[in-house]
Amino acid sequence: MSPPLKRRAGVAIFSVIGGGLVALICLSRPEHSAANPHLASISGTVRIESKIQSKSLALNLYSRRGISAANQKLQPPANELQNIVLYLEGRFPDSFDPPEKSPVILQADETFVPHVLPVIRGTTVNFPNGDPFFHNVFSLSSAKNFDLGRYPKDHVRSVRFDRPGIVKVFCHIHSHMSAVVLVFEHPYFAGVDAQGRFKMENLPPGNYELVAWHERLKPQKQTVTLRAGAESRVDLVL
Amino acid sequence: MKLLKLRTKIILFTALLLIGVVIGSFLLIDHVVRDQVRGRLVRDLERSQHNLEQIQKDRLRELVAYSIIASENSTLKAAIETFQSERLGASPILEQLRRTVDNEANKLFTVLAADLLIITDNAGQILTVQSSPILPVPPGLTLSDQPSIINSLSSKPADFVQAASIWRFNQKAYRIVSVPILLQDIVVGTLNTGFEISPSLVQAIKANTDSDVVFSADGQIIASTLTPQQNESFLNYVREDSRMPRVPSPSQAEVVLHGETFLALKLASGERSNASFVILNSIDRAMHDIMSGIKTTLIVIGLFSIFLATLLGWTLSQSITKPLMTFVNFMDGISQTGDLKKKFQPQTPNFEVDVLARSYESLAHSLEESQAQTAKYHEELRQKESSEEKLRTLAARSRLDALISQINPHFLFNALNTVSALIDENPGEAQRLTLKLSNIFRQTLQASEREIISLQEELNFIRDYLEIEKARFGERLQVEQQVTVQKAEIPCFTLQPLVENAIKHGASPKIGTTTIRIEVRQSDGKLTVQVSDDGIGMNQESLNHMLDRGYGLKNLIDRLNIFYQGNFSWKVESQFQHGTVVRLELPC
Repeated sequence: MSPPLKRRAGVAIFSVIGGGLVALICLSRPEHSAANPHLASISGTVRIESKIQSKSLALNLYSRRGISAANQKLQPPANELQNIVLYLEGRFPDSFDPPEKSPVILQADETFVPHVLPVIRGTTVNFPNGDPFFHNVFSLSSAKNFDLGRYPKDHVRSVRFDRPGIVKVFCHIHSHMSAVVLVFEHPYFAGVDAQGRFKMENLPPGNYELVAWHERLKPQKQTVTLRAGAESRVDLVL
Repeated sequence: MKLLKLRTKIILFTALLLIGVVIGSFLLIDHVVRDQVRGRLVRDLERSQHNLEQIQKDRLRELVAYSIIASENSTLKAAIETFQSERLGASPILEQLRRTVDNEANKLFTVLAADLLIITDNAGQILTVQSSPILPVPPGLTLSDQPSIINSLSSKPADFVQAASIWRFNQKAYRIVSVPILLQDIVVGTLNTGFEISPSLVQAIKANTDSDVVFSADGQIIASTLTPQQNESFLNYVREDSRMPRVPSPSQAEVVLHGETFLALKLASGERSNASFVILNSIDRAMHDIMSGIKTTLIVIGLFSIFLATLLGWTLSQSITKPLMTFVNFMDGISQTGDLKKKFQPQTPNFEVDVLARSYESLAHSLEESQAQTAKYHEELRQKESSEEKLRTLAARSRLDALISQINPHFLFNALNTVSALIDENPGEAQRLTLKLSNIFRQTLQASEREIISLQEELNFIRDYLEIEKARFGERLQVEQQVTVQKAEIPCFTLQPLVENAIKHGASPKIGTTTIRIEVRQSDGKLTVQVSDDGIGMNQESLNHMLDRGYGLKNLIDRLNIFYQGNFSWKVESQFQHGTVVRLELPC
């Protein structure tokens, strides 16, 4: 196999793995307590109607900088819906444990996959390097300031996020790379599928605000009243 | 010396002509050269323009390239991105992030060797400004109105070089290029690098292109290689705006800055329209450079020509004035000696002077002839004048004689005695005689004014005269008169002396009656006047001396001689005891 082919295969593999992990994170939790009649659920859709500010259009000369020309055409147009996180805002009496299995942000094709990762406080996130060259992971954010240093392919380094907040993650070697780790106090958050659908289950009944968050857009909030055993329907527009 | 004046005139005229020609050529050359210089300056300007625009483009492109590389600074990106994400939260890390941005920007600023480096966030708000010296940028200053930043923030697929801005701050102007700071195709900020449009920069441009450079913005000179006064005039052009070429500048315009004429060209620069980058080439300076050489050459040629002209004029005038002087000297000699017959013999033959000499000779000849004629005429005139003078003298004398004769005391005494005697005897006669006497005197006085009178007048006068004599002589005097001529003119007092003589010398001495006979007749074109008496007469001796004795006859003969110019004859015949006949034959 010629190196590009090998690399492409690698990309494909990691993409699958990455996608699987995301799905796991987003969907595993509701499944976990699906049958509890004391809990509520929300389902609905999210649409992006605002223009994502400063979103670079295809720059004729300088676009896709840092990525070899051969790979450019393989990059699919980013589906920004997948970078949306929905979460509840309100008072929660309980404290929550982090998941046993650490979520992963893979570094593949000079991209953090996924780009946005919501976690419960105390979660340790693994950052495996899937590219055949060195990567670095660091953050300057107040919620977590860290620098994992440089490490080669297949090495994994981890960070435990102890404080809630937004943590922007970068790579010193590849300056175009970025990811966001959203650290929550609670587990009541969810992603959106490619069609903008979402479903949040096992939610405690009560009055909350449902927030749709996107890195570059103004967050949208909607008050929801959750009743036990009932599913609320919410459609949000960002 | 008029001849020297002529020479001076020739030289002066030639010199003036040459000076005129030199000045004229200078002006003509100036005109032609100015056109050519203008053409060359236009080409120079266009070349400068092309070079400058190319240099500018290259420089900006270079800056863009370096800026893009610099913008790939992960720490910077992380700091900007994190800063923007944390900004709302007023977290204590903000200051640290800002310091990080500052540090990174400062590193880049050093590496890029730019005059200015600005980093903005994705709204165009300034995060950091790096410059040397440090610019006192107030917080909150936005650059979002700069075309390059607008272009970068929107990440339009546009040429970063074309979108370059002129950023004016604190009396300074910077040319800035802006590139987006991208994070996964998202613009998180802009990196702006620029160089100052400084006096040293425009000086360097001038050194390279030989053109003057003026950079102005918002009606102010930012950098210029012109003098302060010229800058002032330049601003007038920019303010008026109509006379300056606009962007893009298809052609150049002539501008006069503080008395110096420039060819100006505005560079296409793509920034805000109130900034202009103009290159100027001085026509006057170029002209001066070229014309000063030409001027010197022309002055040398002119002076040499004037010298040659002087020499030529001198020689030429010498060839005319020298023979002329000889001729003048010859004429001087003539005027002194008066010898018109003398011939001019030139030492050096000269056509013009020869012609002059021939003309002179012909003139001299005519002069000589006319002189002779004049002499002759003068002689004639003199003769004529003398005879007329004589005539007048004689006439006057005759009148005087006549007067003397008539006022002869004897005549008057006798006449008065006669009248006196008659007063008692015959008062009428006395009265008549007194009238006659009066007539006689009047006639005499009148006659003195005229030379010629009619025969009738003369006869009337004689009759009056005889009346008086007859009154004295009584019967002793008989008068006979035989006049067959009706009309004739004779000199006055022609008859009177004859009658007087007849009475005086014929009748008076005779005892007894004397008859005086007056005859006037005309025949063969002659007027014969004869006065005869049968008085005492004269012997031969008396007859011979007759002309010596009394004035009367001689006077008459002289007068007639002058009057008729000898063309008359007279005759006196006399026989003692028998009488005398005097006959005049006058032309009529």
